[in-house]
Amino acid sequence: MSDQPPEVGKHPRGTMALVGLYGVLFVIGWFAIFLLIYLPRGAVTR
Amino acid sequence: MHVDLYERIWMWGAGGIVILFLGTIGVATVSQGRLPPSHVETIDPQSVFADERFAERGVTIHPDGSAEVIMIAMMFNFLPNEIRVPANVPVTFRLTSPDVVHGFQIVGTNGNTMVVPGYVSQFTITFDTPGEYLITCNEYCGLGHHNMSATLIVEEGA
Amino acid sequence: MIHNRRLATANIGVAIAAFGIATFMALMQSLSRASLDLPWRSAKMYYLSVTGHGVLMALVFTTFFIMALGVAFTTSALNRPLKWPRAGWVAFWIAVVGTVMTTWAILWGKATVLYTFYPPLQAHWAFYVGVTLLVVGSWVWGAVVIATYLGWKKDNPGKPMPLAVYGILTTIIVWYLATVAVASEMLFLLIPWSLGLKETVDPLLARMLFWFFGHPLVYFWLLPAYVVWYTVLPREAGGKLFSDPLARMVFALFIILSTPVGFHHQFMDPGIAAGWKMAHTIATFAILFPSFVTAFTVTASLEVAGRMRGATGWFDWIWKLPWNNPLVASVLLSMIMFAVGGFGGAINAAFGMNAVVHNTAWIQGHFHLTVGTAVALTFMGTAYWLVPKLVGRDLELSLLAKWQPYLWFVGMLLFSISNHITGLMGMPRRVFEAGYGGSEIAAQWSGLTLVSALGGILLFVSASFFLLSMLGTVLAGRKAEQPPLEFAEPLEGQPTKLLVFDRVWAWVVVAVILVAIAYAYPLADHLAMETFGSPGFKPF
Repeated sequence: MSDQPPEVGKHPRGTMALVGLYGVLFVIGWFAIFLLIYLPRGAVTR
Repeated sequence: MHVDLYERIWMWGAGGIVILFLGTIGVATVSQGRLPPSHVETIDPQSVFADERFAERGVTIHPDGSAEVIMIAMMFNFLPNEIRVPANVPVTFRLTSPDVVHGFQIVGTNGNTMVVPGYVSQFTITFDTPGEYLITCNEYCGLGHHNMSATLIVEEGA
Repeated sequence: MIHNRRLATANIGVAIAAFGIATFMALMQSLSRASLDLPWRSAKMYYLSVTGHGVLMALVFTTFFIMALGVAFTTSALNRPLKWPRAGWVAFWIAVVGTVMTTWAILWGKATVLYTFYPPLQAHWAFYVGVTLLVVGSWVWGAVVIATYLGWKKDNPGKPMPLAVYGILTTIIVWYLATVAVASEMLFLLIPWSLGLKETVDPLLARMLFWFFGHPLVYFWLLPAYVVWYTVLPREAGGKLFSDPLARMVFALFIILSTPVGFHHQFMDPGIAAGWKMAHTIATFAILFPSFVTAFTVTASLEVAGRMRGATGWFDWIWKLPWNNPLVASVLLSMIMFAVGGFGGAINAAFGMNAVVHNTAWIQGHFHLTVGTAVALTFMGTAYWLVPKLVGRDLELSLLAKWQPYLWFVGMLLFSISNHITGLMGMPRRVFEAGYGGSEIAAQWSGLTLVSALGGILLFVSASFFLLSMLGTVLAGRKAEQPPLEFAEPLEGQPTKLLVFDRVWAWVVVAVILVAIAYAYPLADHLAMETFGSPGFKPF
């Protein structure tokens, strides 16, 4: 596709960086709530 | 089907996140027996007060030191409204409702269950911090919903 | 071109009217929860308003908006009119009659049962019949869209359907799977019970049927928003869709995974065995996957857009995007909010960990990010783009339209973050006030409820901007030829071959099997157990 700037055809590095950062924050946040709030608030069992 | 290399990497990562979370939940369930309250027991909501399981309410301490709490959640109060249990022993709560659906949450703990008429809610939890806890109804039950609360006092064990 | 414009316009008109009423109710609620002493404030008014806001936003605004999108997108993408236009109008009027009945029951104080209408809270029968008619109307609409698609398919054998149509079909399929349950709840339990033909209902059975419906309902809202993200946003931003086949994969996964997940709303319920709750947990986490893929594909499409506008660095493409275009701004801000909402959802769905957040203010913080922003703000952005094309007039008060998404974003940030935090602190959702007789624990929530109220005020101002701009466009917009409704080109060109994802009916079969496994067994188990019914209560 000659009418497009050459940058368009490359891998989406900006997206990879942003979405990758999101994934890391997602996991950190989830474990923060799991380890710092859920586990200390007591085990609910049968 | 062509998929960009980076997106392919991300998809593996996303699958990994899903498995990581499920694995973590599985470990908590298997190692500590952590479950959402899922007791299956029915009761006639129209004769809750006459039913021997709920005729007497309050706290019973068993010989092994563990405690059992029998409570009724009703518009717009909990019976009894104030309970005292010892710290560091397993406390089993048993609740039901004679009218509409209620919620039961011991604020600041994982003690949280729905109270559905026709069913007995039951779960066990251990409190390690003595003090006064607020219990709220967290499911809308009518115009007095926001006034429906109770007090839990966790006392230092003997 | 858009066919059946009047039908689409009528649907979107009802949607926006419902949004307008519900938005006033929202303002009252957020002020009330902060315990601000206002003249109209009463518990009766508050809970009535929560019911009205829930039903008008979550059921009426969404359903009518989606019906409008379905008509406009299907006829434009296939470039043919609806096959059964009269049935389209029948659908509209059935849904309108249902909406009027339900709204009457709520506003006259006869149905303060919230939008979840859990028995044994008992509403006036008109409430249940009205909701049922709204659903029946949407069924007819779905049939009209499917018939139109089948007509196109017959004329274009072997050709992949346009992605927008795939997305709309997915929405309809998910909706049909979901509404089987709520229709059963209405017809077999709630309507006969409210009419006095049946003395009692089993509250847990009703809850199981409600949430069988209630979670795919969420995807009924979200999927049309995804259609806009995939098929409209890249073009409006000046780019192309990064991957057409993966978008189809995402929609196919939603067909199969949307429904067998409902018990994650009932983790705290008695009477449902933990094993079934775990099965639904697994399916719920699986459905994170297509949304993670969506995050990448849509962001990469935006990166393409920025690079086509000349960006060369790692992140400068972000600033090259047209942030002053109301549709683009609305969708970009929706997506940022949804990224946070998705994180919260992974907390809610985590089996035992649900106890931390169940029925707390966290939940309303959560779904105002998802349905309240990812869906509602996307729909508002879509309206700025679609309504001028429907009525053949320029967008009026476009300055308000430019600012409105940002105001919504800031308002929702204040509202949502404060509710997430008070939720973790244990504040229940849906309470008229949260003082609990001067409880010290409850007193800790009060500063944040004020932040939430401030967010509510900003959201109200933002919603007013939207309503003014829409009203202005319809009444006073300059009559002018509008560009046609066009969809984004895939980066690799339009697909020419059918993929496995295009075998929609095969995916439907898989979906039905999964639903049967996830629900037929526990429901049969439940019905085999001796249960006791409840008579109705009207404590409102």
